[in-house]
Amino acid sequence: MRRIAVAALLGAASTAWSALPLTGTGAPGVLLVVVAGACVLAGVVRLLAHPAASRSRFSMAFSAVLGTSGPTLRRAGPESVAAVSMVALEALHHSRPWHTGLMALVLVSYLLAVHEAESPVPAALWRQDARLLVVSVPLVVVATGVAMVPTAGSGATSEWLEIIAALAAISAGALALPV
Amino acid sequence: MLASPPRPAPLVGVAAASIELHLAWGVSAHARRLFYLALAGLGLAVVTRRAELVAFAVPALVLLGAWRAPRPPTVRTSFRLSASRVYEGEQVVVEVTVEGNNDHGVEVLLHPAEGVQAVRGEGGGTSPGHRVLAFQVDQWGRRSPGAVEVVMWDRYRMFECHSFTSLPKVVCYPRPAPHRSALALGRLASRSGDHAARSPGEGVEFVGVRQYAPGDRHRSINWAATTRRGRLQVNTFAAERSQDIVLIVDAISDVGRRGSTSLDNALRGALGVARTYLGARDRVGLVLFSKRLLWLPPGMGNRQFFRLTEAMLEVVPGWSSDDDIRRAPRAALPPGASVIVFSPLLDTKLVETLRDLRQRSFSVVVVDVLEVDLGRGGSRLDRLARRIWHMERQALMFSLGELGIPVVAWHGEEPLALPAQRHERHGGRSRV
Repeated sequence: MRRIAVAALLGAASTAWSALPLTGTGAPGVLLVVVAGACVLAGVVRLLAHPAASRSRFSMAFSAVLGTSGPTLRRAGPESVAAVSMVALEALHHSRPWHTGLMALVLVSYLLAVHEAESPVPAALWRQDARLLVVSVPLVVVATGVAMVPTAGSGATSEWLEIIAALAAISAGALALPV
Repeated sequence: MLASPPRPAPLVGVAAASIELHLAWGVSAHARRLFYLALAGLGLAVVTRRAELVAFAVPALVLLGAWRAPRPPTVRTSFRLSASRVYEGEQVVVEVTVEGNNDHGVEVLLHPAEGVQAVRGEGGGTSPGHRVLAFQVDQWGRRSPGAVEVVMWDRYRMFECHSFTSLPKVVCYPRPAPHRSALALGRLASRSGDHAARSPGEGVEFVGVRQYAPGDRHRSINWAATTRRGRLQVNTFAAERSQDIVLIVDAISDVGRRGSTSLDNALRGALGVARTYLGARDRVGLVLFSKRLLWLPPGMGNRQFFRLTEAMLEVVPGWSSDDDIRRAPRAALPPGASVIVFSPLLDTKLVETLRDLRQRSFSVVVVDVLEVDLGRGGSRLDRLARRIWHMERQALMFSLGELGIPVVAWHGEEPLALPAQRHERHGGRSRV
């Protein structure tokens, strides 16, 4: 239950961070609603699947409302919908690169927490997942750093070069890391 | 629903099995989510031409670089149950050992079947592939206690597999109801036993004194009475005899809450009575009125107790027109036997059987095991139906009373000794 709460908190943090700066209208507004809805649904579905909560009055009432669609919703993966929508929201916001880098770390933390919550193994994966997160930090810094480096010229070519440079740096770093 | 009773079953009939589990590896939900995230990050980075969005793809790229270890196609899984024969409410410990997992993570989960509860607190093991699980069987019968799920995953859980296999069957006997008093309910047979008879004999229960006769043992002389009366007096004792008890279980109908139905209560009560009387060196037999008429002639000792418990597992609620239950099998009813009937008293066919038994001058006691709460509310028709049903049962009780058959109610919660102690032997007929 605690792991579900951690996942829900990280989901809320990711949603809040992806919502900044607040616009509230147009496509960002719609995406924000999708993100928030998917996060809430993911939490509820996860909670219903938990054996300790599955016999509570709330759980039974919600199961009655959902009917047999609970497992289908879980298979559809509301967390995936939330993650992709957050990336899209971040892309719409034209934020600064450091904001996007931090967003990536929070989002990955959320997905790792969801992974922990759905795992039947009691807290056995966290060490490996934390290691993955630590390994990801310098690579995320490389990606955002490449984006913050001023380009020589302006135009499409330099932007493409920037993306290719970021990918190359990340691939080189990933291959060099002892994972 | 988890329970944590403290009573493990004794090591009886240890069961072990070993099987080769074929593993169907698949991409985990975690890997799928990370893949979608990476795809979205890279796609949007290309579309929007913003390099910082590549950061979303970083963890997935790291994981893709970490896919190295080959995955085993099969593992050998061994089970060892601490007991394969238990009574209701006893715990069974299952040791599961998974071999050949090649450093992959292993977790073993127990999915208990209906009537079985997983027990909290177990799960540890001596090695990563060794798990100790426990469950409690709450419902009698021959049943599989459930399935074991073996979950395996690679280092970062990008691939995982779930394999299920059933646990070996466990035989669960009805839990004998608490019953301590082994009263003599009817005529005593001429075999030696633990019940004091009215005839004098070599027992331990003092009956009185009489004048000494040649052949009496000197140690039985009562010197105080001899001094008072001026002639030699000896103590007399009651003979100790055994009795024949025949248990009749009415399984024609089975009603009530799961776990405490009328049949559950009847079997538990019958086993409790059987244990008590067999402990008192009496002979106990069994007649089961069920889908198939089953009976065991009276016998003595522990072996008979286990024969009775095994026979009870064969019971299937219902009634077959092939069997004439109005007349209980003669071989199962030795002359002078006391009959204890466990019945919900819902079927009038049983009344005919009891009438026949009384005509054959058997001493009969009926234990009413029906526990149905029909409530108080409802429509006028509901109330009327309830009243008619009550009146029918009262009529049935009255007809049994007219036959000289006492009826005691017992719902499986209180000790059975309390109602049964009210009946005393009275000239071959029982009375309340």
